[in-house]
Amino acid sequence: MGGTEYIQNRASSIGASRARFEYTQPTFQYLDFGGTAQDLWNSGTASEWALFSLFGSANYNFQNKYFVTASLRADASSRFSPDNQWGYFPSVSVGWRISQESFLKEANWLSDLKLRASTGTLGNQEIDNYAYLTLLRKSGEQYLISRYGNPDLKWESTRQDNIGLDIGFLKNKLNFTFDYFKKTTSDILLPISLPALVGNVSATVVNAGTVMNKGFEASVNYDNTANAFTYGISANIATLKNEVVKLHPNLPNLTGPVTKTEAGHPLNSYFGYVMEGIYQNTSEISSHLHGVSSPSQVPGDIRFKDLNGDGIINDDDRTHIGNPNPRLMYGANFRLGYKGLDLSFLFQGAEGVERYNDLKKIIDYDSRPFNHTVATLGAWNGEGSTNTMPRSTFQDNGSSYISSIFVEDASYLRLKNIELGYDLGKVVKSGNVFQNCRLYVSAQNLFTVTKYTGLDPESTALIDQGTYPQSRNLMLGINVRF
Amino acid sequence: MKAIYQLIIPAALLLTMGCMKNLDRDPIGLLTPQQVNTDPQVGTVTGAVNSSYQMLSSTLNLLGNWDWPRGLVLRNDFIIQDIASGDMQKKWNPDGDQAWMDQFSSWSFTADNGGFNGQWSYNYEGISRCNMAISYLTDDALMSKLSIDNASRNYQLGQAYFLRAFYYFDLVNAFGDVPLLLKPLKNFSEAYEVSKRTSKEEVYNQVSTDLAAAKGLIPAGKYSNATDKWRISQGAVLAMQAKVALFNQKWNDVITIITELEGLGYYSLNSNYFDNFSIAKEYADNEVIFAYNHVPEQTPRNGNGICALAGWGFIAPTTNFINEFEANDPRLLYTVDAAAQNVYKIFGETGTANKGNEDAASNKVYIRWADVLLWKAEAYNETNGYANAVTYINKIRTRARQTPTITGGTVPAGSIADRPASSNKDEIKNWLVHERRVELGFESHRFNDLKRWGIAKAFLTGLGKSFQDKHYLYPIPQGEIDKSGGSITQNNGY
Repeated sequence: MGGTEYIQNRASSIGASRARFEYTQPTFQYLDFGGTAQDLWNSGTASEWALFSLFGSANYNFQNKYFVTASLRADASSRFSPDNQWGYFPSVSVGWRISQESFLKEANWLSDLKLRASTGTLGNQEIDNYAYLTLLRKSGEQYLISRYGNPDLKWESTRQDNIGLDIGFLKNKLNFTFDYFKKTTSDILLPISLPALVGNVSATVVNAGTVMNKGFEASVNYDNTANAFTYGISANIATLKNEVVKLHPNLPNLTGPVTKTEAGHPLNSYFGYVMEGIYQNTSEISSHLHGVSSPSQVPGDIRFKDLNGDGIINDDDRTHIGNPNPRLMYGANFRLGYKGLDLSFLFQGAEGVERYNDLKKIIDYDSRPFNHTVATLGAWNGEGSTNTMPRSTFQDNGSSYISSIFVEDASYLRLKNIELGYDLGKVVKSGNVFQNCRLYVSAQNLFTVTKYTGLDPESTALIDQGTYPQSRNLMLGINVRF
Repeated sequence: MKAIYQLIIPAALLLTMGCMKNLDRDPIGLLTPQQVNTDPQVGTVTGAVNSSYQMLSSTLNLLGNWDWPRGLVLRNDFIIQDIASGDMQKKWNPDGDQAWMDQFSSWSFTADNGGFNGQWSYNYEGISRCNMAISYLTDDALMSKLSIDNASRNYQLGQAYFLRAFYYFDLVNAFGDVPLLLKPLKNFSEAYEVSKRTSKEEVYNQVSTDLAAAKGLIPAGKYSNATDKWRISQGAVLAMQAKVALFNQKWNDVITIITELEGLGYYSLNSNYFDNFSIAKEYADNEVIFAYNHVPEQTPRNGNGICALAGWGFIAPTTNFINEFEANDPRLLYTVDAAAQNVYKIFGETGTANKGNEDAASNKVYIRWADVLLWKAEAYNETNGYANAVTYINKIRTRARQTPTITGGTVPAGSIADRPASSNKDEIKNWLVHERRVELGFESHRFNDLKRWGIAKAFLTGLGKSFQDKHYLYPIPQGEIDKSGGSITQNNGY
């Protein structure tokens, strides 16, 4: 099979608005009616992009036992400079259905056994149009540089290698799937902020580095519907190891407000000071900060670990303090049924994940005069009172530092859904009036087991400033079909 | 069948060729340097010069949008000079708002503090604009294409050189060795080539070179332009040269240059101290040598935004600062009125209409004659010209005592008396230190003064601040070190 595809997109917009109408009657609400020029705005934009692709693929299947698929695609995108428009992305996969082999054909207990392997590369060009160009902007009569271009910009590519096994037993009543994958994303397209010394410019998109994800995935599915008592279970588990393999030579690390990405560590790894307690008295401060002649810290402030032991807490004492990418995720769905009664529930969870709980800082630790929660009652209030929560104050108690005190274990186990239903059709004669009548009670997010003190451990924000939490729903319902 | 293929294949190829061409279309909806350079306008060049001034303004949000954490809301002179020196405190009623500013007061900041990023960013954005202007103005082909005559070209070039020197001077005083960029970058990878620090001496040399060039290019006269009186003048260049000499303790140069400036007869002390700051007296006074000209109600904005901060309770004096003033010194109330919580010097009027105004008309004064005269007094004192030093200090005191009080009265006789003749260098120096603090209070000179006099540590630790020797240089903004991948190094001790 072969094909070609061409996509061209052109967008333009025009806008106008005004404030302060002189008369509020609708008949006078015209853009140019009255007022000073300051109350008028107008705007316009235009951009275009094009993507041209050629692709081909071939399938081969020998006796329903051996499968080979190979494909190649070549894409040219206008988003890259003319020298770097083309990207080539091949893939190949092979399969061996072992259960079809003569030595297993007779095994009735085994309904399916398939070994799979694949490797393939995909491209990514999801960046702004013209990202490789240097741009100017006009402010009043002045032309100002708004971004430096990167003429070397090229396609990001992701290579995924996968090996997997599908097993089915007892006429596929019991299924297992196992996969091991390794996904390497190279030339990642990322906007990189330049040092401010080159002026006030927005970030340049750069092929910033290589990130590897690898992991193991397994799922099991079992259904028994042979008897009056039916039951089934589906469960899955996945591990993930995320690691930055290398970064652009000019960028040994990428820093965010609370993160630092560097080779050998996960993407967006939290980076900051290590909290090791609360200063209990002045002699503790002067011995810990022996490199500072008159420390400004006072008892009740957060004590940070002096990683290099020089008696000074400064930027050199920062380290990686958490990984926002879950190392293990799992879920399990149970289904039970007996006559008209059915019960199902779904558990979901993640392990080995940290999150920066900025809400805790803003509400309970910050020096700004905001309302606090009752957690403030546990604040340090004298020698020996606590070694975990700093004094409550309008001065900086150390909470302005990015530190491990805000990095919390966001592992959780949550009952996402539970539902109990009863089919009244089994007791009330359905007959002509209705076909089906089911009464049910269900609950979402009924309980969560977690140590995370933010609003929702499922938040995926790097800096959790209080993601609106998922609600707990209780529902009683009746479902009638006529 | 064969015939169909003979048609399809060439058709597909033609289609392909057509599509391929569409991948290389000229960009639309944006502006590239090529587009501007192929059809340059005179306004591109004059705009580049004018925009080079803008980073000296106190207009809000020129960089970013309410980006307090990175110190970008407005130019941070008041923080890194006035708060840091113990003259100013963040707010009249201390609270936890913008805690990073308090870290200047307590000297507990780290290199992450937004104040450093702000000051660095404003200055380097200014430099970037100057470099762009200079690259246009030194391009002979462009100049002849636009028919910009030599007089206009020189004048504009002189302004760009002066401003570049001004920004670098501020950087080198705050941070020591800093990256020295003298021309616009061509692409992003060049940013990493220039991300390295150049020695303080070399930066100072460049400042002197640029000022010397500006001196030969700016036309003579109190104002260099009869309509745009805000532009760099001959006097501004000379004053800046004197300031550079002062900061490098070249006392004889200070005296020579200021004598030259006095000889021009452009400047004298205003009879009323407040005329320096009064909006009504802008470009009609005798004393202001260089100020940023804020103009309200412009698009884009060009008004003074620091008045807005004052409206939110920022910009307050310390008790120590207020106590520095002698009895009946009228300069105190023109600077801060603690009872009414007003800073008239910043408002540009003795009313409160500008308190809270995000777009005020008051100018930001960078160099004025009283400052210059006190430089000369200092240079005399350092070269044992004690009588002259005392004379110059007394000029300032005379004007102060002759200034009407804020209520329109006269200063009681005997107040702010002339300093007596003295040949005690230390005594005269103390008088000078006092006089500069009260005359130039809240004008963002104080921390530089404490630093160059070498008394910052003694004075600030005396106020209970944890000032250490390393603090004589501010830390390089941590973000710059991170973004450069470490090719920019940190100052010692941070």
